[in-house]
Amino acid sequence: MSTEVLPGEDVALVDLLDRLLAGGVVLAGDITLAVADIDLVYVGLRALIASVASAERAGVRLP
Amino acid sequence: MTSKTLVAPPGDAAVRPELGDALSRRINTDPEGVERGLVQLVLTIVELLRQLMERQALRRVDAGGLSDEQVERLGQTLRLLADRMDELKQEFGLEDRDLNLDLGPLGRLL
Amino acid sequence: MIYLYAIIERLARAPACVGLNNGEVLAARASEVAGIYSRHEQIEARPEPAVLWRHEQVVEAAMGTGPALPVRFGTTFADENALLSSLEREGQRLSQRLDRVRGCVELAIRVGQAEARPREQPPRDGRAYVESKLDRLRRRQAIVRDTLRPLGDLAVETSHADGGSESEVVCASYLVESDQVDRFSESVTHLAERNPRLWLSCTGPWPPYSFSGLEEAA
Repeated sequence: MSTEVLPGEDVALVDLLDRLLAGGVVLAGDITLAVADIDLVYVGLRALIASVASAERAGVRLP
Repeated sequence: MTSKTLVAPPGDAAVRPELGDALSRRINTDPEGVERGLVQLVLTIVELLRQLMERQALRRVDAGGLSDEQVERLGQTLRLLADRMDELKQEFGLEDRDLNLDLGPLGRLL
Repeated sequence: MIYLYAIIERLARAPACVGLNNGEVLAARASEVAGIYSRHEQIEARPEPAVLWRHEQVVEAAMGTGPALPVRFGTTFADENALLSSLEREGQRLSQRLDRVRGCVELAIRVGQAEARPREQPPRDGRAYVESKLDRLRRRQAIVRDTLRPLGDLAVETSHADGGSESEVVCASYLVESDQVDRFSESVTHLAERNPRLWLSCTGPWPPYSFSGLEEAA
């Protein structure tokens, strides 16, 4: 993997990853990241965390 | 692709390992390790919950109004949780970088 | 199967570029907005650098003729109808978001400690443990609030992560008008010079990933 990335571009790749995988518009499509099924759980987890974070911002008290 | 790096971080000791870890946490560098993946997944969830809880607890303390004793007890609990997590990681030979902790990125969402 | 890259204004032109697996990039037009997508028999959206950059390229091309909202990587629909009903349903909010990001790009900032802090054993004492964690939290808050203030002043909007409790690195995103990018970047360089105990990085310009979400109140 590191052969595809110029040394100075590590930061750019990480910043891109952060944005592509956790940012952007989320529409009610099917998010299908094609990797082992395990990674699909990570996708679900992100959605869960995002809703926790949103709930907190909205002032909802979490147990 | 033209460079997106406007201001690069220094290429020295303090920064490189952090970025390397950050990268490996976001991209699965071992797609063949499915069995390992199950353990990683479970521990990642546990660690995620631990960090969430710890963060909630810290905010509560920061908000004020807790007695010294309450703060002490809270701190001990958090400490125990962190210890237990370290033990689990050691048991399975996993380090933080193996736990996909940032979940693209956790930091952003926590 | 449909793979979605970005949301643009209803009447804007689809960018002339290829998408994942060299698929043709098309526009699906709903009442308020349009979706930029490609069609595939089957699509494997693997989060590998080449694929990620390709998605990014399509979004950037879409930004060539007007505002665009990047869509989260890996978003697919069964067909155009499914995509269109989603675009209809969210059309108004998407349209408002497009207005918000018009003429702007996103810049990504990271701030860390220049000297790696030694990994100390966390204190045994409960209160001390809490305090050491709170110290870190406050350090990070101070960075966002104080150190990065000049950047916030140059931006239309700011978004920052609280950060995982284990990390010292602060991440922040800034929505900046396109013609302010150079000024912003110089400001980052000056900040780095004025704060030798910190390291800073700035990447971009990016499509407005951090300012496209629908889950927050407008």
